[in-house]
Amino acid sequence: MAGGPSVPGDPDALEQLAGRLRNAAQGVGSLGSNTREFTTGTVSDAEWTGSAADSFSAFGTNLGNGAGAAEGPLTRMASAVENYAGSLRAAQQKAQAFNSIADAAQDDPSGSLMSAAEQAGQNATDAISAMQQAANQAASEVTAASGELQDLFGNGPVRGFISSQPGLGDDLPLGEWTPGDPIPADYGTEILGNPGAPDLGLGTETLPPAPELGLPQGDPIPPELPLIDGDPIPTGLGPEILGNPGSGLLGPMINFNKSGESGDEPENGDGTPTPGDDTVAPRDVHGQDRTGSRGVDVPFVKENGDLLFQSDGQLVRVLDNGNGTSDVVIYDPSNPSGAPTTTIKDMPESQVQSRIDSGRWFG
Amino acid sequence: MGQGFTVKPSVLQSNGQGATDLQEYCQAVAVDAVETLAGMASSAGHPGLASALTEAAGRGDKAFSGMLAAYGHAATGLAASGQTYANADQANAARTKGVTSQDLPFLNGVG
Repeated sequence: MAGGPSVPGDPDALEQLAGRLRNAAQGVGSLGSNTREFTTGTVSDAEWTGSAADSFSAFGTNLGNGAGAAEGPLTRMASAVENYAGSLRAAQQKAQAFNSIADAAQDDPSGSLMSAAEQAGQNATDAISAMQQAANQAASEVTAASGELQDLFGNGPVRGFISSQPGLGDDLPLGEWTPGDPIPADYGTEILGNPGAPDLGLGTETLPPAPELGLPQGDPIPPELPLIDGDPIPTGLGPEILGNPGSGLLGPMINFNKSGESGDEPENGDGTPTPGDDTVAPRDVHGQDRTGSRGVDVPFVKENGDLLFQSDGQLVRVLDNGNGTSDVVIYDPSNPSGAPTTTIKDMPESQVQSRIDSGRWFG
Repeated sequence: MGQGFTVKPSVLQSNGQGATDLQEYCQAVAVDAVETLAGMASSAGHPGLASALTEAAGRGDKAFSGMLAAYGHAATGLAASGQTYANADQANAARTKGVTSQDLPFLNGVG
């Protein structure tokens, strides 16, 4: 019939698509659980321990939780569209019925169908009104659910992960990315907030020097040990083991410097020495022995102190004084003189622990 | 005071591929979901709902992009971590080879 109500839309297609979206939702749900299992399995199978493993576990778990959380919004969108499809179909059926009766009434000179046509017209009007309401409701539900979906990774698990790390950044651009954009080079650092990752410590974690060499547990290989001709220590060996070069590549998962700490700076993070810490400035790394007047028995501490590694590749010996303080000697193993670059007398245990907790010292 | 660490580098390296597999699965689901939302917009027949569905497709696109990037990050991070651990092991072994009996006097006369 020309001029009758027409209700656009394809309820069959919508219902089919809703089913497909529901399947996709179940897919991301499975993805979430699989990711969590994968994370746990990786750490377990690799027998991976330490801060790097902990960081990866947290990252993977949050990623899995985030992926799994996408199931809800997608499912709600599917349900909203399904509900609307039902109303749309009803409206189309009522409209079609009215058009048919109206056509017949038009051709009926007796006028006996006019009443039925009027009723059909009212039914169609009601159904279309209901369909409009259903569409508006579905639109609201879809908008709300899609907002949740966007928040999952615009502000979601990764961001939540960051906010759980003290001092890490809050302004992630994850939500700004568009498909096809490359992952920013500093993506990992954005996620975990550790540009440069100087304290990564991967190499140091794997370094089991003493047992393999038959040297005392925890001792580094003495720098003065000569090499066999033709088999030199690789150029990058020292930093690889003690100083974690390339850590920027690995840092994202592993390193958690607090904001303002590069690993090379004192803990106050402002680039100035911490009071009481006579850390040698970077330009004095190979500088003179400043220990003479500070009362630290350097040879004794080096021989008897606990061995730690500093993020810049230097070695740290910490000798517990038994009174809540320790004497500390920091020295560069590549310096043939063996002279320390830094000594600290009676360093409070809290400060020692703070450096360990921050990853500045590890071992 | 010291902390102990262990790891099997080869497992980390191989599991980097596992993360890539998850990423690929994520991408398949993402494409399905976003295309489905866009298809719904075309079939909705209602301007308001169609607009909401189109917006949802865009938001989903962004969300899945972030998700995919995170999986990629996990994949490359695991592989790189495994490689670095392996490199450290090799460097350690190389350094061990550089130690001779001359350097370890207590070994003189042994073997």
